[in-house]
Amino acid sequence: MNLPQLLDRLKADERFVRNVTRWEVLPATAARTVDYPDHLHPDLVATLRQRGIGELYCHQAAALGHAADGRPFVVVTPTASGKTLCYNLPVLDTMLRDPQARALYLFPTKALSQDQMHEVHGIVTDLGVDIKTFTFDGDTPAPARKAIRSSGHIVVTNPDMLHQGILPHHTLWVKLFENLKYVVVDEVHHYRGVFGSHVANVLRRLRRIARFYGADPLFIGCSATIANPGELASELAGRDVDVIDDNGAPRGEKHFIFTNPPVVNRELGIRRSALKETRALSERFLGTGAQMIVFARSRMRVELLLTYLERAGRKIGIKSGEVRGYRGGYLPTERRAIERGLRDGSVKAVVSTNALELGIDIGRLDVCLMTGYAGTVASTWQQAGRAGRSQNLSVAILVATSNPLDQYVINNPDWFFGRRPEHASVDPDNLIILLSHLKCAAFELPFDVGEGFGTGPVDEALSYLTEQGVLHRDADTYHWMAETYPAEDVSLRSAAPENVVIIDTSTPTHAVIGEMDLFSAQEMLHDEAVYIHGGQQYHVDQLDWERRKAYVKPVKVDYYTDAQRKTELKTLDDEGRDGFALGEKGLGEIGLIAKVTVYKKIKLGTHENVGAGRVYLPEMEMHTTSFWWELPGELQTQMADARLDLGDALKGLAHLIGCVAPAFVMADPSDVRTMPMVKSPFTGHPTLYVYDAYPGGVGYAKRIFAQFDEIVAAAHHHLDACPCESGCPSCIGAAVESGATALSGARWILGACRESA
Amino acid sequence: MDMRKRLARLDRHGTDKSASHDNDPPCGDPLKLGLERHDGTAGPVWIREHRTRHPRPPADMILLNRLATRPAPDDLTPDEILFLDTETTGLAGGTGTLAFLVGLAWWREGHFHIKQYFVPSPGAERAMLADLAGLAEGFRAVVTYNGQTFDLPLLRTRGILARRRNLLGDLAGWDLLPVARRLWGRRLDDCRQQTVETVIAGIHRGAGDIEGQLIPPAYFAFVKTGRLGALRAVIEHNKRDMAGMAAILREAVARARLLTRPATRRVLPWRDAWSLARLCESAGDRDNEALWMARALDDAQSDDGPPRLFLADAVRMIKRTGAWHRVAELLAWAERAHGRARWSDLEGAILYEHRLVDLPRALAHARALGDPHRIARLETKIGETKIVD
Repeated sequence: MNLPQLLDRLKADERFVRNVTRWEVLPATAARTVDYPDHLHPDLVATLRQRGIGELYCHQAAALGHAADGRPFVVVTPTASGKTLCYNLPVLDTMLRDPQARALYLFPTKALSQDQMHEVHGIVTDLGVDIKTFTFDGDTPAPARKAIRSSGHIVVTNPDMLHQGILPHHTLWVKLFENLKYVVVDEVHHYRGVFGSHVANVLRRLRRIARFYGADPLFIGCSATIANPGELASELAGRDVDVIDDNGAPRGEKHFIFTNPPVVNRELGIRRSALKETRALSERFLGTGAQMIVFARSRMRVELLLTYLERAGRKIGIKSGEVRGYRGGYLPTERRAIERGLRDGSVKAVVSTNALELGIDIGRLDVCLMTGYAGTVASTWQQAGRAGRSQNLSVAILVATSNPLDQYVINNPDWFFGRRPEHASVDPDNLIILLSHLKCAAFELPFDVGEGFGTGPVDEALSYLTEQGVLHRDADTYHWMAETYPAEDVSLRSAAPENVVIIDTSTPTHAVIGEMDLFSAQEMLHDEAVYIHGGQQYHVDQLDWERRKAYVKPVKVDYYTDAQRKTELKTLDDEGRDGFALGEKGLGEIGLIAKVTVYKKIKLGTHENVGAGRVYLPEMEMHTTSFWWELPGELQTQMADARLDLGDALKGLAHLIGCVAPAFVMADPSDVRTMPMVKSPFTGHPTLYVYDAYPGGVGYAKRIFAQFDEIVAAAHHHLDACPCESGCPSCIGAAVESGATALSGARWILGACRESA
Repeated sequence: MDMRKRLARLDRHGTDKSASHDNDPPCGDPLKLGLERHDGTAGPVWIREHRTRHPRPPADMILLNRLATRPAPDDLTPDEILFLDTETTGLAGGTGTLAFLVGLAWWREGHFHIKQYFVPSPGAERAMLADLAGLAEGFRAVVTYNGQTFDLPLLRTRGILARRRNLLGDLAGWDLLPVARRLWGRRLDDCRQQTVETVIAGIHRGAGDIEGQLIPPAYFAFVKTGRLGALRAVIEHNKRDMAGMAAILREAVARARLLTRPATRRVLPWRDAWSLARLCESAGDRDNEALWMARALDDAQSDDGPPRLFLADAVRMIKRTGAWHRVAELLAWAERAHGRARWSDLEGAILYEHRLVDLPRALAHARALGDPHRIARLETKIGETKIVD
């Protein structure tokens, strides 16, 4: 049976179709091409023609036009649409004319930078010119570094290395900075939230140093499809960036299928395992001979699916080398071999973590199966884009898990297929993050009084740092005046400088399996907690709060722990208010004082309370940005008349908004927290707070403030579509947690909202 | 909300609050440190100068080229040498570390001149670097202690920040740290400048010398509060570093002279003789290499258990002389002192098979090595010998 035949059979398979929430057919589109522009270097044109590229896609031509005019731009086109040429062409064109010219490429991960080098190398070799491309990252051997610094034309690196390894040593990179013509930032949509806010500041530092050496490089970005690529890229570039999104690449017909495994426990809203569902589908597709990629969320699941698929393959004569796994932890050589195998067709199927989601070149495949939602629409399209040749039919299937966000997406396909629902946000001016980078920047070059960094002058912050004793003001200049190397203390991946390190004591080397911010650690890593990491249960033997270490070992128990956090929330500053259908909405700064005091042991499956314990940890304090929804005060009596409890209803709503909001603001569910208050001391009314889980905030709350109408409408829609009986973790939370009338109460409030709108 | 308040509230991590000060602190008065203010080429500079009737520089100083990682020009004269040592705000490297005290010294007309540039506040660095660059023009080589890795790159970096490219870039560099390692590293516990000064040059700095880790805080205190504190000691320390370097240089040259005079009556620790043998070896001077090694071996007899590395070096060098029985003795010695080892078994197998033709012994070594080809070959050879018998 071939691929079209299998699709026909699936369409007729009632058991399959019953679970499908959307079967979207994206029609084939033809290529739209234009001739090479006259200003492009003839050698480059000749080489491209030689490589079989007779013309340019219209978006590639647009990119060249922008580069020629010196206008910064971001390219937003699907996976495998020839995006990389959008920056490689202008860069190589410039270098053919000016052999001194330099470019810096930034990729979010090491693996990706390795891959990029490959492509440029190919073109450069064909050109027969001496344009040196090097990767510079933590793996670059010391002897090679010197050569890269002085003679690398294109230096490929990642933000962490730029931050800690390159910028603080810029005097060793004089050649690069003096001649820097381009800064290329690929996978722009990855730079959001905390990471994005940091990277925006790293790029401010980069521009500052480039300025010192008299360079003003052109910013080029590439992004997956999000609602606001121009806005995000402009934040990163520090100036207005044009969006190029008129995709000229051709595409064959594509079927995108959403499937939701059937409910097996209505009360808890638990569905049949997405893994089993994916396994069954992958085995059917393997038989068609189509090339396939299967995504799974964890390394363990990758291995599991791989085992099943190999077994199934053997039965139909597929050799084990033709089915491969791909994930972090594999050796680079092994990965390269798999990538090659996928390109040349010798590998028929690959099971991967999101390691293959990013633009590593594996050619284009026929089928993509996704075990669970990739977290964002952008990532899901990137994964799905792995399947899709320019001519033939391709298939992408998303199999939802029971996870609330998955359930929101799978039940609201219109939201997914509608026009660009996701907004990425960064807040480069988050004070903690900004302050960290001001230190790094002052270490790199002294600050002049009145000098700008990003949006405006930073004198106040500099004088604060002077008071703190790390800077010294001498006449009109702030100098670094401390023994430390500030970049070493700043991790781009976390908001606060401190984290708890999680150590698995069952391994001989006491392996570090993860890190967690202090706030969450109190809740999830207290003594005796059961912590779940990568699908494995761990028992926390000890949380050494002083040393910021949690010692855990793997266990298999039939309960989980649920810590009770007592949180006090104080509104410190009111920054914005606006009317809302029901009540008002607000935005401002809040202070939280939280203390974890007790935890409960809850049996898996039945959710019985099977024990409890005390937690002895110090109080935590955090200041962050919060959105709030202030409801009318008379709600309480109105609801009481309807025999509903306002407290339950708010708890339910908080849970629901917590499930839905991350989808709109491209946050992980743990990036935003909610807190319902029956009577907020600040507003004096029932109020629902939704705040950033990071000190200082990184822009989520602001985004929620701006989009709250849509979020509430989506939440309402989602609640209506949820098949559970009295609330489940995918909507308002299990009734045992939110309260008996939570569901009807939440419905009542949302109904009132809709009426007033 | 007031940014300052928010800053204070949010930033509860990490910064050094103990050093909290007023916004525009009083800068210390450098004149109180015994410094003089001069008008430099690009602004005021603060200087302290000394002149001592130090012993004259060795006339054959160029011998140091035999020991140095990077040689200086052969026609270099002593008064073309500039000694340099910096005191900095940290060891972290990168661009944000400031050399706040730069000590320079040179020989001229029978005197040893020391000139120290002090940067009382970071804004004064630019003028200092300008003066430094001008002064350096009169010299052809710079002598440092670990300067090739630390002081010079740091000054070059600061030079770039001050728009002064290639600062000191035209000077050849003699770094005494690798020199000391080569000459005395096999004997000393470490090759820090002060260890070498004490043990080799017999200079004792005494209790008044400031510890390295106290130097940056002393400067910060001066800049931020104006307190002179330990800065006097820092300036004195830097001055002693200059004098110390000159003394080490003299000792090193004296040693370099011995390279070609293994018959000298001077008593040398055997580990130093070993070092000289190694230096001769890398210069390809086979005769002196063997003689120095022979001296080292004679004196090492009294030492219980010289290191394996030494015996391996000895075997390699004595082999070159063809004294095969001596090699056999050395191998036996190594085995006594350190037990069997692969290298000595390999040497033994070759020695007894090809040189001393003691095949059973060679076989014993080959068996210890577990080298099947060698064993087979030796067994065949032994068989043939028996037939001939």
